Amino acid sequence: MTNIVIIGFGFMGVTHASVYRMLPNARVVGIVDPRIEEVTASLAERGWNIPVFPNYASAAADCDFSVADICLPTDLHRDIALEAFADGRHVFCEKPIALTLDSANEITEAAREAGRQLMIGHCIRFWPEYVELKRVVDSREHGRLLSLSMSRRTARPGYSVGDWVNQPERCLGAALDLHIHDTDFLTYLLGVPDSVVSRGIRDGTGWSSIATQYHFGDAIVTADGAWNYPQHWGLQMRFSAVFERAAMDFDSRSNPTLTVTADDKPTVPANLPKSAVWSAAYSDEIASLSGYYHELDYFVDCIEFGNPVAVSTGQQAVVSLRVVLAEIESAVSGKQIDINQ
Amino acid sequence: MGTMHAQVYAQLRNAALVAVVDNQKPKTKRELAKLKIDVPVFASLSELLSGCEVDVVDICLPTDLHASFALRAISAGKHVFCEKPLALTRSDGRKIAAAAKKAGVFLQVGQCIRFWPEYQALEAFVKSRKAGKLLSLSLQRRAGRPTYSVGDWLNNPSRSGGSALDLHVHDTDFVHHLLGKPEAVSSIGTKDKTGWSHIFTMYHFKNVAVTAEGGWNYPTKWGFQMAFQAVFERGAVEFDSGSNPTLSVTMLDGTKQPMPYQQTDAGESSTGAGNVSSLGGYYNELATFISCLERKRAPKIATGDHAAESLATTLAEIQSASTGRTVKLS
Repeated sequence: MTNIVIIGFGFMGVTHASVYRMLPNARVVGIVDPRIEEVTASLAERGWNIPVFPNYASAAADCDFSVADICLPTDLHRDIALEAFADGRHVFCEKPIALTLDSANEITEAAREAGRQLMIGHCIRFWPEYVELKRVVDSREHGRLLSLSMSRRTARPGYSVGDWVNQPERCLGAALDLHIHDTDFLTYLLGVPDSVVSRGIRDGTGWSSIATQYHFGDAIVTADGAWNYPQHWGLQMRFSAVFERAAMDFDSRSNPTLTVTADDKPTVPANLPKSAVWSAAYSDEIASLSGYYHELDYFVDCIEFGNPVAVSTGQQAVVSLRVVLAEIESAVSGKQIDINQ
Repeated sequence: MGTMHAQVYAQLRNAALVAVVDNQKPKTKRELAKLKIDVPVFASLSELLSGCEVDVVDICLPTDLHASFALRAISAGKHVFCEKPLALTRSDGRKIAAAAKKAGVFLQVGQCIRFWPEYQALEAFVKSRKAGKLLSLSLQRRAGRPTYSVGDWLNNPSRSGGSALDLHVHDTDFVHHLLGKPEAVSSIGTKDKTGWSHIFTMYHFKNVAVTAEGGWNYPTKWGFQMAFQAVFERGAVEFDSGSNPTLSVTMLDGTKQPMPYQQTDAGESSTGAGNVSSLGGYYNELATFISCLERKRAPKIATGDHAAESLATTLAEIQSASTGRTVKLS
């Protein structure tokens, strides 16, 4: 049994708590959040009996736990992560790992020095349709991947605590909070691109949309992310993959979500790995918790069995951050930016 | 395309198809019989010009033949409707546009998306500013491998220019129509023996983010899809040819609604060739061209200059994809 303290009980904190309740070998023993009254009421509403602490130190003094799960605004990741590692905990930290490469490297260095596990919440690596895409790419079942275009679009998030996502100094906008999911998945799928060309839109809240062409050796890849859609538009994630002998299309708003057209056969639903289905408390846009479920399930198993986290590690997250920061540099400068290896 | 145009002319009161030119006479006569159109078939343009009174020559030939046929028709004093793309090269495009102007004949190019109902609706919505400024526009045009072209000319890049010039050009041209010429293009793409079979482009504009992708390297059974997503300050408009309804709008405080738009009564094609069966955009463009001729007013939309410019931009996209660098447009 792995005991966990969740730090930050906003949108992601609630999501993680919901997943842990579904895992037989995980238990949330404390929640850290200065909004004591609000969080206590929220827990009571759900019928969840978990103590709430105003800060990390008080939770550490009172609880017996091995994992700190950081679900705070991005600008707070570094300080809490360092505190948790110094305290001898393993850390699961939401994405993006940090706002700057310096902070990100400090986090990974702290994990190494403490000899503790670190995993970052790049959940798309665990999302069923994306898992299937990677399987098809790696297996070359339909030949070489020729092109991949990815898209992640949503209304501006109105659900964040203190509206932190709309404050550019806390979040860096859709580029680092939304689009990074696809950049990270691309590095997982294809490695680090040689260069990027990006264009985007900035408003008072930071980057509200960004579109990127990734220059890899052979595969052609584009991805765009935007959260400047109208309030009730919802969320859509999409990809289209063209292989030598097939095409795969994913659209989170379609049913079925994933289809494949192979050889001379008509389009059919693709097989998906089995996943847990759950209705989210906050938002009807995210109908399934599957990616969140699988990433935390994987992490808890790594902790329990002492296997090193290999997917969505701190180092991998640093790479994704480096690529997204290059995309931002490209969008700002109007130039193609080389990614230094 | 010839059969599509013939069906449109049959519906236009003020236009009459009087002859067809095609070097495959028996096949052409059978096609015409199927459409219940009874007109003579000439084996060459010169036979037509000497054997028939025509005001307009409508060129629905493979792209590599556009320049020679258009220039010959223009020098014979005929008005010309020419299918897209205008030509395979910048210089041929400019040559054709200039020749028409010099000869004082009308020239319109089959950039039908400028006349396609849902795209016209988008244009009207942009102009109305009902949802404020346009912030971003993404366009897609994707198809399974074409198997229907005569002698498979579409899959021969030296005849068609590949999917970039034959399919994706529609979206580059529409971007020009809506927003003007971009400052530069950045493109990446997939190349195979049919040329650039899939291209992804970012168009550099100052105040709006525009991307498009187009290609036909999908399995043939995948079908066809054209789509766009337009985000405004206070709303979003989406089009998907595969959805029902095809066009929807989401205003700032509202939910997604079907967006009403001007449809034509043109109906559907009976021949089953090409990507779309609806005659809407084709009807609009040809009706507009014929109306220009009747009123003796030169075409203003999809002119030779328009088509030459979007052709040049599409060729710059190919250059960008080939070199891996952004290309500035002069």
